[in-house]
Amino acid sequence: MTKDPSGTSSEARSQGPESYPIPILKMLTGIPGFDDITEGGLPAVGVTAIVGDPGSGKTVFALQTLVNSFKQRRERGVFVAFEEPTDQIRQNFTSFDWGLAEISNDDIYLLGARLPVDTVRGGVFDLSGLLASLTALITESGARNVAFDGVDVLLGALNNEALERQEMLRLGEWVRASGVAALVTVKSFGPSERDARRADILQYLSDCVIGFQGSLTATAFSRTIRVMKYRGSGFAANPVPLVIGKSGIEVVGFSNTRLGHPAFSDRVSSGVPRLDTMLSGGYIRGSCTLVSGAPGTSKTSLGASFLSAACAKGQRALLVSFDESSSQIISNMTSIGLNLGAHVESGLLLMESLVSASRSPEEHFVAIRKLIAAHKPEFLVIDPLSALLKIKLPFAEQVYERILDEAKSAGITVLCTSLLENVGGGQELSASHVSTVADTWLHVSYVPKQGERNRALTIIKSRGTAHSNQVSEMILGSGGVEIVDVYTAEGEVLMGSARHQKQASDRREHLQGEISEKRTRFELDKTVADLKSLLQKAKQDLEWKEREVALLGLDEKTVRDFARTDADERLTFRTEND
Amino acid sequence: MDDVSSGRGTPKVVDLKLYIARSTPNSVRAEQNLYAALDTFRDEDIIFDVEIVDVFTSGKRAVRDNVIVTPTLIVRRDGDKRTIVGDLSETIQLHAMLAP
Repeated sequence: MTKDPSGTSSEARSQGPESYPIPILKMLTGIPGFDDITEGGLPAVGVTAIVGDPGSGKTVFALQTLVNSFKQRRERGVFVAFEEPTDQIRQNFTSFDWGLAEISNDDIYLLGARLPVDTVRGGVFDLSGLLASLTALITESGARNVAFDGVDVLLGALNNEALERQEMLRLGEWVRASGVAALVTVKSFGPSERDARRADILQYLSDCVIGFQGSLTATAFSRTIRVMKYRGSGFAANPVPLVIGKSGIEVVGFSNTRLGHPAFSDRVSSGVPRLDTMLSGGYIRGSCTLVSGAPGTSKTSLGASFLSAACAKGQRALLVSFDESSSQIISNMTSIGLNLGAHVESGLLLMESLVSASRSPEEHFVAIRKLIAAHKPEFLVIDPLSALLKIKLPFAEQVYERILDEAKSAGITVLCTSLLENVGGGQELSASHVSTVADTWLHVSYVPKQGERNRALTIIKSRGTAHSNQVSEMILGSGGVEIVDVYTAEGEVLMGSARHQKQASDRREHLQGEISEKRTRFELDKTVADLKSLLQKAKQDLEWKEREVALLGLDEKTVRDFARTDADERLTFRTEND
Repeated sequence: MDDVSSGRGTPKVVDLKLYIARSTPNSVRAEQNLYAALDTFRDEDIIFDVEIVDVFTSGKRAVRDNVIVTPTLIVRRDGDKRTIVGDLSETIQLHAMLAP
């Protein structure tokens, strides 16, 4: 039986862009993210090889594609299980939310293809029997998609490389003749020469090869998917992380990071009035703020203040914590006068604690995206975002950017904290990729001096904002986070009790200065007064002397006048007597 | 060859179903090997009830009988079911399967 691959039903399945040199018919897998990296899904006719390590998600991928094809396009499928018994497969996959229980066996036929355990091998065999059965099945049901899960298990029983190759080619021929889309899963190839030849054959007969890989670190398991070959189609060739969750596989692609985020110019409060002033009004709506700092520098408090201010205005907010439980954060914040609990009760604030160690970064991404979709927050705090980097898995950095990108495109104002391990020496950052994504970067550091650690807040950068370049002191009190100007004296920045002490001693010095100034003035005044009084006395003396002089003058005149008068009188007297 | 009714008790009946893929080399060989083997049992008091099933014409039946590869020979006797796959060129295995 054959089907015309260019028939109408095939065309209806093709959703791929038109720009390829050889346009090929594709079928959407419906697996989130995967159809993006393959520019429209898998070949609608032909063999897609799915190569991967055990547990990397090959079987899930194949079955999910069949289920989606049926649910979205009503295309029936056949799942040929070489590895596991069919009832076990059915049971495993009912744990996903695909509604597999409601899909009848006619729609997705699970065909058990394990040889009975007690089978005796009595010579050379081939796959003709199976393929004939399949032909009968798809002729009857009209199935378009066939998955061969673990065909290498059966072919390995041939114990003969040439025969194995022959059967693979037989399978490929059957697929082409039948006009179906075949998904063939096989285990990863080892370094042996035989495996290399196996890989060659698979490459040759497949139109598309998808590689799955799992990588294990001390704390988490991460899976990636990679398109290794795609005849007649463009594709993203880089390994891309994938997540297996309740809904099956989700591919977390990074290539389609958008730059066209909604732009805002209005400000939202940071929850700390003085900080708002320093940032010319607060954080820009839809921007991302990074708060970096050593442990205990109250990064979380800044985040909580921000959300608390938003919720107080009736806006929706989300707090994702990687370090502490929600109840722990609530009780900690109560001590600085922030009542997050009330906002949680009112439904405005959603607090979610994700323990960072047990999941891969991409799993966190998917989880956070779900939370955003469900709660629809305008404000988001991730505390600390650096927890993702700590897992030391590939893609942590991309996941970082992807989370922020996702939030930005939804117009969410984000604040994320980042833990910096290097506390001393005033080192101000190494996580350069975060800082480029962040629009505003606040750094909180401890300034140790004279038996004290004081918190210093610096605005390292703030895009599109005139901002203070001053280091400020951050104080936590029962009234929340408060920011005060530091005390600068003699080229030194002082905080805490040092600031206090210096301020007091300066005040004392100032006072002493004032006093001595007063004293000098008094003494001067006194001298002036003395001199004035001296001057006064001299003037008076002068007057007296002058009077005296005047008097003296009068006497002489009187005497002279008297003498003249006397002489005259005498003359007169003499004359009278002569 | 003894007659079935020679009086040496009720002969054992062995039910044989050979699933083949039309005229593929493996299937042709399997059919030949099976008949050659049966021939060696001609003096035994066994009745071999042989049915050749071509999966190309009876595909649905192969699915039902859980036949994955061709050739497959299913041997049933006394409620016991055994499967041997391949072109039956390994005669020791085949004889062990058919022997009473």
